[in-house]
Amino acid sequence: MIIQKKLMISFVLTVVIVISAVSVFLSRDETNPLLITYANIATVNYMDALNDAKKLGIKLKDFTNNPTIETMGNAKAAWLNARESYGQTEVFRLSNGPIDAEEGWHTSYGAPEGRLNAWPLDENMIDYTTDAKGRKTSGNIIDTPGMFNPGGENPLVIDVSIITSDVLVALNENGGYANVATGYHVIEFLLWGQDQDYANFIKDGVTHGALLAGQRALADYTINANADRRKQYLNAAVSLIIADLESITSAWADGDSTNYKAALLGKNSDVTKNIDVKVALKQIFSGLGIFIKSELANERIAIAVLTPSEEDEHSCFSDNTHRDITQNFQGFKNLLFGTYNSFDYGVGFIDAMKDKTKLMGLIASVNTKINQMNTLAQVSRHFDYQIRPNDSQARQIKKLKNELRAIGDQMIYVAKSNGIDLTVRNIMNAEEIKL
Amino acid sequence: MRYLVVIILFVSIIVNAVSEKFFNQVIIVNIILAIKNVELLIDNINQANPTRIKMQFGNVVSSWKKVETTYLLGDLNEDYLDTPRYIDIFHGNNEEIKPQLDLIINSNDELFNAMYKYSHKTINALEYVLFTKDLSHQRVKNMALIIAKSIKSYLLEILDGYKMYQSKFLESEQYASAILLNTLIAGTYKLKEWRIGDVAGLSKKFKNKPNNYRSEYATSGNSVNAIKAILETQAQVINSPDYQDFGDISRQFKARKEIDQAISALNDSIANANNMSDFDFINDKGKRLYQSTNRLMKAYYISLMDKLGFVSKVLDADGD
Repeated sequence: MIIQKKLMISFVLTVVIVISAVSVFLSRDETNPLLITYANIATVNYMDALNDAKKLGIKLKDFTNNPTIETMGNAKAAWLNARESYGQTEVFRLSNGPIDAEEGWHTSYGAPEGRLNAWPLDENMIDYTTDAKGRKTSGNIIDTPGMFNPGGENPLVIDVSIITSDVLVALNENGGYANVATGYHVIEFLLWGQDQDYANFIKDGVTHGALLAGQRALADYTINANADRRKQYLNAAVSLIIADLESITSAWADGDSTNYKAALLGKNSDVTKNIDVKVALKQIFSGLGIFIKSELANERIAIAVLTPSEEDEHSCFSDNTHRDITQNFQGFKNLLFGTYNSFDYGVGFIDAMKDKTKLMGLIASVNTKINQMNTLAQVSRHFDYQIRPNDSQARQIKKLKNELRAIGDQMIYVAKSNGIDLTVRNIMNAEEIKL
Repeated sequence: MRYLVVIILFVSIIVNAVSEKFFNQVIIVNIILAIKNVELLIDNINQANPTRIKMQFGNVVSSWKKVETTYLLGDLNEDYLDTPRYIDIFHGNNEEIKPQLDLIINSNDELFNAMYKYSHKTINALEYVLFTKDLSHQRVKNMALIIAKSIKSYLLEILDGYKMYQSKFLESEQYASAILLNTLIAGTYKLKEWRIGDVAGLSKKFKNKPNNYRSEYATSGNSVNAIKAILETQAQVINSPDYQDFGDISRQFKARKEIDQAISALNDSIANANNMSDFDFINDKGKRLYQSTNRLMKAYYISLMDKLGFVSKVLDADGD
């Protein structure tokens, strides 16, 4: 019988035994320390994202008031900088929080994630591109002075005579998910322009080079047709980003007994809004797992490298995808270790784990691969070259994807260590593409 | 899809399971057969013999499905996790490859560059090229050869991988048994839901919307051929007289009734598949096959797993 027992094993139960679950004390009266860490990091991270978006707004205003090579470069630098802080906030997604809640009172914050960071987008809807046959496209928002039909499924025709934030909101995903009219990547396209050769991205016939991103001409903002409309578009788009981030920042602000942060910490003056600790933690752990596994590993890396497809890299106009991946993973580590910008924010999610060996090993390996990807992106070749089938780096990026998926699976055990039961169902996006 | 993944991680497992004989007689033999069949297909394409090409493509389909049915190399080493995707994109890719292949045929770009996507070099692409295009055109013929050679190279990679990790498979019997059973269960779900249910209009996604063209190899008429290969391989796993298989192991651990249910459902499925053609998915024959594979799925997932799940609790109590 003893031999039989030793010959029997369960994947899940073995791991559970090894981990030896340790629950964080969950008091009805005291705020859970994990939630405090989580909420405080959200507060400062979103504040940074908002401030960086405002800096972007200033640089875009400077650029559109006085379009020069220098002001255009400054605007691009501000966009890249804004992505650094926003990228880290993405770990707060998929947890029924204010950034993307689908139900609950806190949807009143606007759930603006889709407006802020939607991708991939159909850039042909926004401005001209060079199509697969080398022809310049037209019939977009920029070159349409009146009523604009975005196309797609049951689209609503919108008056785009003047491009305002309201107009962009009306256009966004009007006719389908690809009809993205708002957010960071729209500004990215308007600053950098097209990088991809639609006929065959391996040929790279549009920008010609492993270290070249989109090469939009300054003339698009000076002497070329519709220069003023592009300026309108940039300023309207960044205004919307700022407004949306102001809304989310207010949800996480300190000193407001009526906001989401107060509810998450069980201190909302309207007690009916307070979120049960276990429910909150389950949503958070689940969201983290889904983000790392389904979103970062699958949607943002796997599809790009396994197809391969430049269209499916995250920042395909600026070739900033390596930083997107880096900062998304940094955001995950912030919560895991309870730190942000090298400051300690209290108890980290990993602290309760007795045996951290596997998870830490995966994190170290992912760090190495991300560092390598960043170095190559700076000195040798951008992400869209690294994913080419014959590039040795493609194999490393596939390994990176696999390790991120494994880290996503580890969230079950991180959660378990903190007294929360998750299953694989909780860390997979229902619509995830099987890869 | 989530359903599958849940199965994969949560199924409980018994060790001392599959033997070296199984590894060599099923996994290795099947992959070698697949390589030989692709080599023959390459010869047929070079000889421009349309009749043989079409017949041999059926053999490639059949032998590849056998490899796919027990594919567990990705679990032995994650570097091989995505390899099947480079051979076969059925339900693994949202791309519409037919217009892309048409563009490639009609362009003047070098094929090496034009066929840059992995999907351009899969068995699905090969089927389209072999069965809808004129192989007397040199560019089409070259495309077919590039695809076939690509498939062969990935099959060789799989063979090398199995040889390299054979010891890992045999040393860690618990793990080997677990991933083999998980592969079986996941494959049965795909068989029932995608390869039969979606076509017969019996899956959730296509309820009451049968369409034969949704079958896996609708263009070449090899869909039932593929299903038979999958079922025959499952018989190699759970009902072989030649080596210790899952059927034997299950009986050892008092899951006799459950494994017998599975074998019965499998035998029924094989009989049903043998009694139908590619045009029968949308009639009663297709419905019967769906029902028997559904029983097979339940036998694996509910009955057998439940039985083995009881076993796993012993370990938990043991605390060892």
